[in-house]
Amino acid sequence: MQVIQALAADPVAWRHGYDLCRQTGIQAGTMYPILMRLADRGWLETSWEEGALGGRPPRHLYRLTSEGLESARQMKQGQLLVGGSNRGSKAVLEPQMGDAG
Amino acid sequence: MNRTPACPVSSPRRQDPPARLLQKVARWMPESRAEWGSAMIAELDGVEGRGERWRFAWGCVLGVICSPGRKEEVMAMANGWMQSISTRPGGAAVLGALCLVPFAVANAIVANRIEPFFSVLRPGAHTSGGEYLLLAVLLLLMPAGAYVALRPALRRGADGKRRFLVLNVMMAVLLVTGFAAVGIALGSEIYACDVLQVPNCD
Repeated sequence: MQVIQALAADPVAWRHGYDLCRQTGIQAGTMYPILMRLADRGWLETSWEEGALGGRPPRHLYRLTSEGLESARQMKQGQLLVGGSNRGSKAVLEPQMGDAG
Repeated sequence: MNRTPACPVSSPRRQDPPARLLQKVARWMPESRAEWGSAMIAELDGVEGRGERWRFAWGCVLGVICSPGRKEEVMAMANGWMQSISTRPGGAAVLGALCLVPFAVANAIVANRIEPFFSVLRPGAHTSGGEYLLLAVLLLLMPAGAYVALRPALRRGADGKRRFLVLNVMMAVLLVTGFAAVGIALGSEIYACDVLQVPNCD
C-alpha cells in the first residue's frame, strides 16, 4: 500500500528502488518482491535510466501504469483490499518479510 | 530523466564486499527475473556509506531469496530430485544411509568429547536447549532417510505394480529401527538425568 501510494504521489515521475525504500521506510528485501509483484500484475511500468552520470550504472526505474494508478485511486477510497473479490490484489501489496522499518 | 526499456549491460563502479555479495547472489535469480538482479546491483552502486551499503545489500539478498515464484521453483527442484531418486534404487539407498551420518558424527563427538567440536555442541557444563534441538533434528533425519530409501519401492512401474527392492527395504527398516532404538535409549537417559536428576546417571 505504502509503495503504491508513494508511486501514485507523482505518477509521471520515474522512481528508483533506493529512493522508494528511503521514502517509505521499507527495506530492500521487502521492496523488490513488492515491485516484482506489481510489475507482474501490470500495475508497474519499468525502464532503465539513460545517460547515467560519473560512470554509474543505469538504475532501474519505476512508475505506475494507468491500471496501477486506478488501483491506487481505489485503494485510497477504500474500495480495494476489502472483501473476498480483491484478495489477489491484497496479496500483491503485503510485504513478504513483514518488514517495514 | 532519460530512459531506455532495454536492460543495459554495465558493471558497477564499486567492487567492495557488499557489491561482490550482491553480484554473486543476483546470479541465483531465474532468467525471467535477471533484470531485477541487475536493478539491485545498479541501485547499490549509488548507495553511500559502508553501513548503509551493507544494509541495502543484505536487503537485496533477502529480496532475491523471497522473489515471487521462488517457492514454486524450490518445490519444482525438490520434486525433480524426488523423481530422480525414485528411478534410482541404488542411489536412493545410499542417500538414505547418508542420513544416518550426521547423527553418528555428532554422537561420536559428544561421546568422545572431540575438541573443538565438542565445545561448539555443548558450550556449557550441561546439555543445552540447542543441543536437544540439534539431537531431535539429527534423529529425525533417520526416518526421513528411510522414506528416501524406500521411495523407489513406493513408485509404481509401467505395469502399475510396485517393485520389491530388497536393499531399499532393508535400509529403510534399519533406519527406522535405529531411530526407534536410539530415540528410546536417549529419551530414557534424558528423562533420568535431566528430568528426574538421578545422581551420576551419565
